[in-house]
Amino acid sequence: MKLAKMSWSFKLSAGFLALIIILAIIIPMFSNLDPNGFDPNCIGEPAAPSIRHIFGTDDLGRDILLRLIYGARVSLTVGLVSVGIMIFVGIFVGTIAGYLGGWVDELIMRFVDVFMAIPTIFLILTIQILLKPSIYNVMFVIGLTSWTGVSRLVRAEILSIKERPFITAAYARGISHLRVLIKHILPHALNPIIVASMLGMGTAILTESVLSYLGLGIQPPHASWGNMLENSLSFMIDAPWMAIAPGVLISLTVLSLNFLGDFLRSGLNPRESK
Amino acid sequence: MKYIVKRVLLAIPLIIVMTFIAFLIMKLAPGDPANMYMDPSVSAQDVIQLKKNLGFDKPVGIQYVIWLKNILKGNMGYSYITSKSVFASITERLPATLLLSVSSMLLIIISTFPLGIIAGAKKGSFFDNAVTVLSFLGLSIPTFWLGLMFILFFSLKLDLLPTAGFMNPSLTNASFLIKAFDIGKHMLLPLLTILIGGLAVLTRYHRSGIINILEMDYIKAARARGLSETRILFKHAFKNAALPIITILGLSLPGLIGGSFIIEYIFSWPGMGQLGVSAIFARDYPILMGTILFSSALIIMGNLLADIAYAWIDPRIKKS
Repeated sequence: MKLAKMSWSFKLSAGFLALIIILAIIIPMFSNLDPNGFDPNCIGEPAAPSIRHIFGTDDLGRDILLRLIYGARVSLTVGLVSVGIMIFVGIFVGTIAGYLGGWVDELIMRFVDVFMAIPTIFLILTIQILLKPSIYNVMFVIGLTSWTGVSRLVRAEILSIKERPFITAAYARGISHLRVLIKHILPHALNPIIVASMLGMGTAILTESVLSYLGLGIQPPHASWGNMLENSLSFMIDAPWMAIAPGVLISLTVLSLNFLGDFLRSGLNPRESK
Repeated sequence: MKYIVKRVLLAIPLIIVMTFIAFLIMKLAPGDPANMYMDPSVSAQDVIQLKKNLGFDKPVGIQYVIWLKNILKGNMGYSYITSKSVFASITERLPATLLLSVSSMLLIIISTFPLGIIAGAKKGSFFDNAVTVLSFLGLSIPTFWLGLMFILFFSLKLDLLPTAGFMNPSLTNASFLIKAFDIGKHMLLPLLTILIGGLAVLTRYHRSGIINILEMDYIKAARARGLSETRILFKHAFKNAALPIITILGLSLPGLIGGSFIIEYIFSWPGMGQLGVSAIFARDYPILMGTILFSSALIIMGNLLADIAYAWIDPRIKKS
């Protein structure tokens, strides 16, 4: 994968994500601006975008750009952690099913089928009202409801590899099962897992936004892209910028993740890149 | 036939586990349902009696069996808020949900084929790039936000379409055609929102399917025989690329249905989804559980239909 061969969409996506991540890390570190601080000139009524506030302010006179940057921390963290959980559980379950086979495999896969037949968003919403809405619960719930795809993927990969001669040879040399699994089998499943995690992160960010928009995710006054949308709802007509900025930012971030995932899919798969 | 029977049999344990999950949600719900029916002035003895009536004094396993028996009889309990039966509340909203989801599904299928075929056949062209970018956008935009933007633009700014609802209440006595037109007007924006989100995945698959098939030997053979490119595309490639779409459609059902529920809520479309989302806010667990059960059953049936259709179209499946 040489840089010259990379498509413009890849470069744009990577650049955009890098920008968001750097801003989200640096601004809160090196400035004492408070995302919940309000501009006394704009209080009481949302102020339209101006030089003072590039994206305008919300109804409490808080700067939208600053809140978006702080919200990026929340949304990206939710994406990263929940994808981490998704991959861990997915690999764990998929490995057990593929490696043990037989009735264990059958049982696990039927369970996965059930999971895949439930509209996940409903399950997530239900669990969120059973638990207390907090950022940790959001991450866990998203992670624990999205692993089924990864587990299928890992299982399929293991099934196709475990009978191959080089695996038998590894056993013959007396290498332990765990070592064979980690050293020889899982690396083969790595590429699709990387792709799945890119796409999964996009989905997680979208899910967080739905949850927070419905008031079941990140709670105010903490800023997240989703709850900024929830907040904007009462001001749709008079202050559309409050709804537009977070939505565009979510879309562009998820779009970049999807482009990256797609690029890696074709780049990591020699059969597709020709 | 054997294949179909096997598929149907496989769906049964699925449904049983599903009911168990729904039951578990009911059990885990905080607050005692018995307490929700009454005000604090009722005596403790009456509360115990009520719990007995509701069967809450029995072991959980027995409660599940009783609950399941009731479900099979169509008795899914009563809403905590309206005291109406869950079954009736959901079935009266089913037509609106089916109208929206079936028409969006049909629209998705109708539009995905031409988009996918042309994009796949003219790989790398402007059209292909446009379709690719648009379908990636469709995957990435939060659908509920897109719906809100549509309302903001088409309904509030331009005042072209109604913001929400199913039908103008003043038209109850109007003729069928006028009613249908009004419902259509209300349905346009939710339909468009679901379409944009749902089209993306299918079109991506269809496009890559066409690309793969156009490189197959039998297509080369058809070209060598001098068949026209259009004929090859529509007679030979299309059919084979269309097959996997059925499976993908079945697999994307949960996402489509779950997504259209949120859309129903945004547009106040009086369907099952709006009922379910409102139940979440009202902590109306029986309704919530009923919605999950119903929608999951719909999805399982949809998947079953997809499997059967697939086997019917492609005889190779039955043999394997």
